[in-house]
Amino acid sequence: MKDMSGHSYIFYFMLIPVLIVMALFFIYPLFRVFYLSFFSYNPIFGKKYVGLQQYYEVLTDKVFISTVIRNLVYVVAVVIANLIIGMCYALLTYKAARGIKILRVILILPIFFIPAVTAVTWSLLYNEQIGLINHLLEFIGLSRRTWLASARTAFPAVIITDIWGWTPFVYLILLAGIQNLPVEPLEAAEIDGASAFQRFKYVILPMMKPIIAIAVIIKSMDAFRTFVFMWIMTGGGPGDSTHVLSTLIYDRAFNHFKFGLGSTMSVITFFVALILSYILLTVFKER
Amino acid sequence: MKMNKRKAILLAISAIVFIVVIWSLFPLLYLFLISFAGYGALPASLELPKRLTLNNWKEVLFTQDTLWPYMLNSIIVASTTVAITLSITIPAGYSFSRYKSKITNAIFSSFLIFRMMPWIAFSIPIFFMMNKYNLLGTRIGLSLSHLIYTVPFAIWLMKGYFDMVDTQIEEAAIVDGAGRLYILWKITVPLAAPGIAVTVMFSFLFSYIELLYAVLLTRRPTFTLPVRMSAYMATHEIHWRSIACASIISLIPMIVLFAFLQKHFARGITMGAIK
Repeated sequence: MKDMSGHSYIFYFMLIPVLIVMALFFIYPLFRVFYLSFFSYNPIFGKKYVGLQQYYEVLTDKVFISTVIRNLVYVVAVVIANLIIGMCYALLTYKAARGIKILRVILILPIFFIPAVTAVTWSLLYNEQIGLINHLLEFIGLSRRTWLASARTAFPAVIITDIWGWTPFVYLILLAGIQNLPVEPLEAAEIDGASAFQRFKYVILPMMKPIIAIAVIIKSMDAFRTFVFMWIMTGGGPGDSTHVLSTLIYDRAFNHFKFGLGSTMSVITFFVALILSYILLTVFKER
Repeated sequence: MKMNKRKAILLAISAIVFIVVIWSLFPLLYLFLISFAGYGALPASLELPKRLTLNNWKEVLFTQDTLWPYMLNSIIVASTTVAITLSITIPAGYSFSRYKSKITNAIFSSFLIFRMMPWIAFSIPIFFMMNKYNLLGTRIGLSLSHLIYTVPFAIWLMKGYFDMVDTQIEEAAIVDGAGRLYILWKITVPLAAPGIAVTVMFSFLFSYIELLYAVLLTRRPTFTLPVRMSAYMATHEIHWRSIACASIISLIPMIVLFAFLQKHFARGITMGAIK
């Protein structure tokens, strides 16, 4: 729609502040990080052009490659679990009945926790000596474990924390989606005597597909750049065994002061994210 | 026969409800018990600690290293982020909604791409930029960096909401000779109030809970709550009782905000997205 007076400049004028922010905080950093990725850069020795050497270094670095894979495993595990649990929550609470409203608030509750608080809390639950989880294990006759200090258990332990903390987000999206569905097909199915499972499979699920797609895309992106849980609960350790991309880049750039190497990792991460978004968008567009 | 089946289903559902309620609540319950635990061992399970005390709460709330300054920092940073986000994304969302050209469409899509980018990738240049303009360790610097989180999401939501506002009233106002900015402010913004409420909620949430840039860009006097919480873990001697109290207190601002805006909450998330 054009302005009655025929001028469209006012609409461009309205975009100026956002364009400034975009230039300063998106485009400039993007070019800057790309530029820095060709330099070896640290506060003591300064900046030195090294060409593609750091790309070679990063792409042949076993720690980096296994971190990329771990990061993708993390995304898949968290998204699938969030989707299944979130869908169960939504099906459990979409009908307004007595007590359902309270149940909804209880199920949403974990989202009120600041992720840093969630992480600290779960570190306490996993704690070797005093943690609740070890107490319960001992209670049912199993032995204590050092959940976060062992490479084998630390990674799944953090994934469980993420599932606890962010399922409500997916749940809210799905709940809103179910409530916005037209009621007639559901009622018709109910009159025709479809069982609850049939109603879900043949009526609710097909109609929910667009909203499920949104939930999966948003949640995948958030899970891909996960930082807080891993950072607080394991710090990437023991060794480098539980790093995700964000914690690895942070560690290399700001703990080891390898800003150039961190930039190179960022650029590669950027392209992995691009490919991931492309796959997700095409998969969900075809449906 | 039928009654039995009914009973079985009811029993199964009750069991599921019981399990999910426990799953959602047990960390909070555990924190709550620990926050009242006196000297000696912490409660071994979900039971009342042997020695009850209010000292942990006193320590967190009223002693030297109280939680309030961090909380205040968090609230100031988040509020500033919300204010900047709203003031730039309302006109932009309106523009994207009402005027479409190849250029504006391209700009709008590029925001969606930026929403998907891993934020860590921007952290190194942002760090140097803040350093250069002496914004390192300031609250405003952190707020500005949080625009990376809030602006793409807010534009997405705002455009969705403005799309749903009926344009007839606006057209009538244009015939009467009103300017666009006047119309936006006086007519469209009030009609899109639910959308704005949701945008406020999420912008505040993103900024309030954010840790990566907060760790990077703040210094002791400007530490936010998430930074303080992560520091609890970094020290050699971990004060679990203080952590329990601090964790519970940190929930309060989110719950208050949610209570204020919850009418619009669930509905609004999908609204912008579906469009």
